[in-house]
Amino acid sequence: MSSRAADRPSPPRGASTPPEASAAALQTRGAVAFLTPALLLIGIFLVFPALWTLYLGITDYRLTGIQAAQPQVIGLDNYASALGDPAFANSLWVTLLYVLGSAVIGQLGLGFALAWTFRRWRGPARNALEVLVIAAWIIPSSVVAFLWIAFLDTHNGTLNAALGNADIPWLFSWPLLSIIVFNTWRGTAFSMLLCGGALNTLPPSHLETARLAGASTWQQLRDIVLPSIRGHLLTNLLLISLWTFNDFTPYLITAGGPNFATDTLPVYIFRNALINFQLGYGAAISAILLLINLVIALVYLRLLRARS
Amino acid sequence: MADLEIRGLTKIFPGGMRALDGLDLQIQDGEFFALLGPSGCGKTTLLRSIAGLETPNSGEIHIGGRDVTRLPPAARDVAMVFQDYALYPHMTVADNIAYPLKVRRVGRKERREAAESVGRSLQIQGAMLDRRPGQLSGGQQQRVALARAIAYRPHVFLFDEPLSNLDARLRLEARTFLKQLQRELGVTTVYVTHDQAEALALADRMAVMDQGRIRQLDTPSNCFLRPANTFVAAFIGSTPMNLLPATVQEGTFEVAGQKVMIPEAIRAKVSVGDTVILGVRPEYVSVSPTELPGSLTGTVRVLENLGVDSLVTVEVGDLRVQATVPEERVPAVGDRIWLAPDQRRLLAYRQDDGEQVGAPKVAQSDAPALVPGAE
Repeated sequence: MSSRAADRPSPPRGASTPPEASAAALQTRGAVAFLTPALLLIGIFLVFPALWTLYLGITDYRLTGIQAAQPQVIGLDNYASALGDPAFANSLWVTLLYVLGSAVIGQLGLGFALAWTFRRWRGPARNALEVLVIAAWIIPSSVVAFLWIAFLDTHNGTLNAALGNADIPWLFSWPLLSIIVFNTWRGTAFSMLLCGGALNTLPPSHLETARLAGASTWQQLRDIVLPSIRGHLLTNLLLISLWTFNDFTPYLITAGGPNFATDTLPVYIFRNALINFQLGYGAAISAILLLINLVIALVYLRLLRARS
Repeated sequence: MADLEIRGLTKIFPGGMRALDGLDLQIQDGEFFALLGPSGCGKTTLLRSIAGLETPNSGEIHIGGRDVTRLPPAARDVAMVFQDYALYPHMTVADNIAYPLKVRRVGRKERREAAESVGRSLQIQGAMLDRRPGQLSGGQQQRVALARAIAYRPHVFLFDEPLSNLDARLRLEARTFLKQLQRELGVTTVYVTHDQAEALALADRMAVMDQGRIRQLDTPSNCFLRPANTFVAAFIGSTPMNLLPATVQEGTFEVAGQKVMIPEAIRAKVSVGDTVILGVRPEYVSVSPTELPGSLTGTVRVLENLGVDSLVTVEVGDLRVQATVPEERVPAVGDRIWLAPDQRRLLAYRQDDGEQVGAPKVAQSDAPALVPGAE
């Protein structure tokens, strides 16, 4: 066989490019042609604004006045004043509590609890449950914000009416707790769906073996379920932490108040950049927010990799 | 160590599927008992009911004289090995083996010792104990699953097709190993399989199940040599049994217009004019190139090499009869040959319910009799 192949006349050299090479060139050109529009859009709407924000962060750019016309590069002054600003420290602390309370404990905790409790439900009952939970997630922010204002209103609110005209000023007395509960309610659907999917990947025989050995529900969760779906849980935690960190919806309910009790970082940025017109300063805080998000992402990725 | 008794066990799944139908069964202490049947016959449901993973609608389960019907799985002292082994991927082999002990709050040191001592008897030792299940071969994983069941020290082992995920050669090795292990431990074992060869090889006794009922409860050799009905006859044997429609005449069966002598043992159980189904395994049909008395004749259509033997498919009238022949006597396709069923191994079944002639009629027999085709 091989000797016969060697006997075959070799193709004339240099006469033309071999067909494979031209096909490869065509493929490359095709790929570039297909990718270019997407890359252009990403460049214009994502990369450029991000770089522009970084640039603005080192200027004294304002919405009005001389600095609006001729912004000056002021180096790291914006960052220095942010780190010296107690309002920024307060905002960072509020944001951490908000993320911890509503995403990590609220959404993941409740989402997993719902997924675990109803894992064997099938059919119409399960569909109804999912519709209920997902409805909270897909209704536009402005609508749900209004619903919660109506729900928590001191004199005419649904909650106080249900408690027998209690007249409790929820948004005034427990503002941070209110938006934590609000965001838990709003975002649990995602965690529930993701945990439900993760639990479905668990072979029934794993839990049955544990049941035969006499493991309690708590032991099954600790020894088998949670370690088995650890990857799903961490991915979920990463996504909901980042979303909650950047969430602006609470502003629609409390406007950052009262007395900055719900002044999360996105609200702080909005206040400084668009209400106080300090666009340069707002851009600098945005860069810090980006950095925090990056650190969160790295921590989760580390945890994920620690698995193997 | 315990015996196992099942009385009138019925399990109806939501939707009306009757998986177990008033099933009675007694398994002796230390017995290796196989549940054999096609998928959906109820064998796995029976095993899971014994384990407590399914709740029967009615009936009772007794283990070692104790009624466990309403007890949770953990209180029954049974250990189960699943088809997928159910090893925990995030635990080491040693932790997997000792997990039942961890649940019982046995200390870390004792758990390790138990894992080592059980592991040693199953050739799981040294560095292997600290690996994860994902790093082991299929055969090793299977042994780890066995070790975990043994470490539990149960009264009854429940095996749900534990060898079906192994490749053919490994399965044979594991089969021998499993039988030896069960003999040594002497623990009552219920073994579910759809592989008739596995059941024949392993079991002391076996139940062949179909549609939630036991169709034959006997030793493997009786199930093989004297299947109680056409269902068992068709299900057991690596080459399917010949099932040939016949009518009874004076002293002979008429099969496809030809005559086969009625064996002495059957003669009193049939009367002239009956229609029956004759059953004879290909292994018990002798083949001759010349005429034999009381034999069927036909033309060779297909030859299949089985290794030591060849399987010959012969067209007799409009029926097809199979026989195994040793290598030195293999005929050629198209040859005319004579087939003589072994008189001691020839069986006759009733046409209507598929049970052996002379057997008492099964009262609730709405199960369809297996009517053989022309094959």
